[in-house]
Order: sequence, then structure tokens, then C-alpha cells
Amino acid sequence: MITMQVRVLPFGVLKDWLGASASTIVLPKGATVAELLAQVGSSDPTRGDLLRGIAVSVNAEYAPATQVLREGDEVGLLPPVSGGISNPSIDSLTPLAGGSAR
Amino acid sequence: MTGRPNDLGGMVLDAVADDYEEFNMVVSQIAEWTKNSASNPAIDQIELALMNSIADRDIQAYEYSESSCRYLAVEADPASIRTRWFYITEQGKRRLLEPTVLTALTREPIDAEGLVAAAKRGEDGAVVVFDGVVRNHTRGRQTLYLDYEAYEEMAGKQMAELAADARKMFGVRHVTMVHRLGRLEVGETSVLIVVASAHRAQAFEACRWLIDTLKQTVPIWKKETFVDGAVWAAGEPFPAGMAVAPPEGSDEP
Repeated sequence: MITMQVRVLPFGVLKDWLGASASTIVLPKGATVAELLAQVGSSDPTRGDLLRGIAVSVNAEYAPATQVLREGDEVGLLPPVSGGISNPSIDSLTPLAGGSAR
Repeated sequence: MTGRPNDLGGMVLDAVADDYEEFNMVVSQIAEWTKNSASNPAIDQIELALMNSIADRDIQAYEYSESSCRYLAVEADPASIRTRWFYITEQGKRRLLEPTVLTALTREPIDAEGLVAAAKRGEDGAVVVFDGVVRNHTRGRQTLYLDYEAYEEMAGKQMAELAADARKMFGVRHVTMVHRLGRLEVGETSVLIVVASAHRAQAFEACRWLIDTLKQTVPIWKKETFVDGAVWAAGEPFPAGMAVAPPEGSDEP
């Protein structure tokens, strides 16, 4: 099987699982973003839920699950982002009556 | 649009703009042109000749008094549409123009007052500021500090794009968007957005859109440390179509 290597960069909560630094992952040539995620998830099925709802970047641009990866691509695993102001964490908040904006 | 090399190793474009609308059109053409010039990495500078009237007016708008300016130059990174503007005096000196978009990630405290003052210009009728501050609690737990981290290369690019988009969408004159990284104590500014515009409605709308979109799409994360433990903030779901794996409970493949 012809293979290729991509660099995987985990962020946020995914660092606690996958490590804080970039790692190199070997995939079949022509593998997609979805196949990469399946491979990462299969390494520890008990934590695979952490991959739900994430976005992926390829070479610092958001990429769809169907995108075909290429040798040397830098793939960011991006949990839902939480920049900006303090937003509710841990649990989601119940909106105030009248639908007040957060 | 075609270019010819100049003696600085850059590219000269023979575009002419008669009024502000044309000027903006030329600018977006340049952005498009540099984006598509990846195959020609030698292009790292573009000079744009402007009619005297527009050049004078623009320079005045930016409170630069030298009336000798007849050229604007754009330093463009072919890999992105971010540009730095210069004007060239008759003596051939390059002077940096006040950017109309200022975005940054910083590990230093954000000088909110200074950035707001710097954004104001005579032609603005409204300056809307969003100053995001670290608050002292989340859901009843007492916050000690926050640690912000970013996918810096991507976040910087995204913020620059958002700021440029806001200017186009809402027609505001200037956008400043600065986000702090590293450890922040309660009461410190985590994000500052300044929108300056002739009219307040556009400034309010642009500011609101910028913070909402930043919170959903710019790759920045924070870890909250409370008196009794630490947790990565849950974050807001990505806008539709951006997440590659469905959230829990979804039927999508």
C-alpha cells in the first residue's frame, strides 16, 4: 500500500488526549479528512466523542470531511472555539426569559 | 490587470482611479490579483498610480499632510490578501499609511484606550467599542485566571479576513480587532474590537457581527482555572457546514 504522512496539530481539549505537540500520522495515499479522523478516533474509542463537532483545517484553512489530503499537509483538529469574551462553559446555559442575548 | 516590473523588484500596475468607488474596485482587483499570483512569487510589491484628486483626498482622510503624494504602493503577500499600504513622496520615500484594518494576536496587555483613540478620525461620526473582559465567575464557580491559546497562523489570517469582510459588508471606515493570548487575570481585556464609521448604525452592526463571528469561527481556545479545578471552555458549535463530524445526537453522516 502506498502511504503518505501528514502532520496533525491538536488544539484545546484535544491536546489533553493527543498531546500538546504536532504528531505525524501515516495514511494511505489519497485518504480524506474523514479517514484521518476515523484513524485518530480508533486509537482510543473511549475518547472518540471528543472528535464530535470539531472542525478541521488543512494548511490553516477550514476543510470539509471529503477533502483529500496530500503528503506533508498540516491538519489542525479544532474543537469548538472559545475565543473572545467569557462564555458559558462546562454546561450550556438556559436562555433567560425573553431570549436575552449572551 | 497587468503589471510591469519596477526597479525595486516589485510590480507597477497602471490602474487609474477617478473616485473613491473606483479606488475601492482597484483595491479589490489587486487583492484578487495577488491571491492568484501564487505562481509568480516574485511579485511582492504593487504600486498603484492614482489621479491627483483621489490621492489628495485619501491622504487627507488619513491625516497625512504631504500633498506631494501621487502613488500608493501595496505590499502584498501573494499567499494572502493582507496588504500594507504605503505612499511614495515626490522624493521617492515610502511612508506607511494608517491601515484601515488593524488585527493582531498579542501576549501583552491590550491598550484599549490607546487603540480606541488611534482609531478615531475626523470624518467618523461614530466609534463603537467592544471590550471583552475576563469576569470573575462562570456558573457560580470563582475564576482565578484564563489561558488563551490559538492556532496562531490560522487565527491571524481569519481575523484579518473578518475585519476586511466587515468593512465590505457594513461599509465602515475602520476596524481594529485585537485578541490577547496567554494567561489573563480577572478584569483584563481578552478581546478588543473598535469600529469607526460615519454612521452609528453600521458601526454597531459591524461590531456585533465581528464579536459573534470571532467567537464562532476564529481558532482560539481558553482554559479556565477556578479555585477548585481547571477546564477547557466548551466553546460554541461551529456554524453549519464548518464542523466535519456531527455533534452528539445528530443523524447526519
